[in-house]
This record gives sequence, C-alpha cells and structure tokens, in this order.
Amino acid sequence: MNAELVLMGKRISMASRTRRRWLVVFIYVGLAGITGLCTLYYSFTSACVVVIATWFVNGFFLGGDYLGGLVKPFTGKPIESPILESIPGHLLKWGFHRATKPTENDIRSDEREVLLRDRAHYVAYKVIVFAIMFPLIAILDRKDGLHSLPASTVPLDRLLFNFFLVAWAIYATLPQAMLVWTEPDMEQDQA
Amino acid sequence: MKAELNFFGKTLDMAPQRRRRTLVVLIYSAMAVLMVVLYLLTHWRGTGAYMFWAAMLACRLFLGGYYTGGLVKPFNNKGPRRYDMPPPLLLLKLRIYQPVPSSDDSAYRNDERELHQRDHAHYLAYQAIGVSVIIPMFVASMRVIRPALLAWIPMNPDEIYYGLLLIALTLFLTLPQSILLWTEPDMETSA
Repeated sequence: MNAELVLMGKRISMASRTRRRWLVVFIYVGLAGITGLCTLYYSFTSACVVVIATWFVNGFFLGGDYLGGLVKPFTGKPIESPILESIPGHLLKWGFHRATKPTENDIRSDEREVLLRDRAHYVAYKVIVFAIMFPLIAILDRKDGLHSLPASTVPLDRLLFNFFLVAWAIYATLPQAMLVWTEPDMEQDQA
Repeated sequence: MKAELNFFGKTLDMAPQRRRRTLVVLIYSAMAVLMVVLYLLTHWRGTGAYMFWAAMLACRLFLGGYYTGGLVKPFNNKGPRRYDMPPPLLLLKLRIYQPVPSSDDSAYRNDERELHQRDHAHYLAYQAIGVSVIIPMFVASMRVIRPALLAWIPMNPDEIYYGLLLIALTLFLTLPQSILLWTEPDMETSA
C-alpha cells in the first residue's frame, strides 16, 4: 500500500491509520451524498454519476482497480483510471497526478499484499450479499402481493434502480476501503 | 479439501481434478435445468425459493464451504453443531449422516494454505458477483431510459429481475466452492 497521496499537487502522508480511516469516512459520506442525490433523480445520468464517482474515488484515493490511490492495483497490471484517460488535461491541471511515473513497486503487490487483498475480498463477499437479498425481498414482497415493506408505494423499477446504485457504490469500493481501514500505521520513508 | 465424497452410503473418489470438474458441470447444469423447468411450469411463482434450497442442498451434499458436508471444508473454520439428540432417522436411512468430528479433527479445520485458497477463490468470485449486480442494474437503467428496448424479451420485467437475482444468489452460494474444486490439481489418495 502506498503511504502517501498526491492531491492538488501536494503530497499528503497517509502512513497514519487514523488519517486513512478519516479518509474512508469522508469518502463514504461523499458517496452516500452523491448516491442519495442520484436516487432522487431517476435517470440514466444518475447511474453514470455514481459509476464515475466510484471510478474517481478508486482512481485517486483508494486505488485497487487502477493506478493511483493508496492500494496497489489488485490485478498487478498498470491500468490507468478511465477518468484520467478521458479528461487528463483537467486533472493534471488540478494536480491530481503522481509526480513521478509509477515504478514496478507501485504496481506489483508482494505476497503479503496479495494475501491481504484476498482476505479483504473474502470479507467483502459476505457483505455484498445484501445487494442480492434486498432486491429479492423487495420483488417477493410485490410478487406475492404483500406490500409490507415501507417503500411499497415506490415503483419496483425505481426501487431496484436505487438498490443497485447503492450496491454498485459499495461493491466497487469496499475491498479497497477495508484494506485502507485495517492496515496498521506504516513506516514512512526517510527523506 | 476432502478427496472423497460420501454419497448415499457410497464413497466416491474425487481426487482426480477431472472428476471434480465433471461434478461442478453437472451441478450447474442441473440447476440451470431446474430453473428453466420452474419457469416453464410456474413462472417462479411460489417456486423461486426452490433454487435457494437446491443451492443449499448442492452445498451440503457436494460442494461444502458455506455449509458442512461436501468436499470443501467449512469456510468459517467451525465444526458442525453438536446435538445431544440422536441423528435423524431419515439421514441414517439415506446414509448421508456423517458423524460429528471430534474437536481436534482436521475434517473441518482449514490449514494456512487452504485459508489462502479460500480467500483467493472469494477474490475471483467477487468479480463474478459484480457482473451479477451490473446486469440487473443495466436492466433497471434500460427500463428507465427506453422501456421499449426490452419489450422484445417475452418475459415480465419483474420476472427478468427475479430470474437474474436468483442466478446471482445461486452463484453467490456456490461459486467460491466451485472455483476451489475446479482449480485444485489432482490430489493424492490415502492408501
């Protein structure tokens, strides 16, 4: 895991676990706000906004899926964030880039990191079951004509759409967030 | 992972990888057939839960993992519950009763290598479960943008959601074990 983030051109030390936990809290508060707003506007754009928000979070803060962020790419391949590829000029202008080119050490996980990655996915796998169970319960509630759930007046398409937006936001970020949350304080490189 | 399967009183040698792969193919084929038959007969009205029971049965009899019994040791590293009551007569008659292993038995305890394999299987399964979340999300999005685009499918939209989520649930319950059975090389059989 990387010990620092480059944000607005500044290097921020993330060696302290407390800082990383705060970052995770801020990210989920932000994602909750964005997803909450998107569920109000029932449109394709809102789905795109949530997907782009998770790409942004993973590409620049959490990592995991792409180069950049705290966690090294899970696949061990130097995949650029689609956000960075699509509008690189804006992001570079804002300074959201790493000052140096990624080295092999930034890309490849060592054996311990691979084990931690797999463990995080094992835990996340059990959490993500809600993404299947909640919609199933909602459908069964309608299918059997019970309408006993609180949101029973909301049309099913809309309810499921909202469920899946939340599920996607959690699915795309949870393993990385767990790694960032649980990793103990790191030793900083001596400048 | 166990190299033998107790099935209705018979001990089947599952040490060769080829046999385990055949078993996985048979299980998923049977589930696919069951799902199609249930749809044709009842449109999953009141019978959708059979898929859940079928997946549980497959775990208990063949796969293991999330339930005791089957080839893969319990993921939670815990042995089966002990009851003071004698075993059910039905299980004894069907010869599928397995005595509870003693506390020091390795029948349910995963060693370090098996724990790593378990975690890695979940890492792989997590990606597949993501797809099973994206597909209903895509359907929900399509229903938002252009409901007419899905009109060619001869199924009620609720049934599409329900079917996709049943598939996701079945995969959720069985996929990590299947990955383990599929990838584990030929085992040495005890003499």
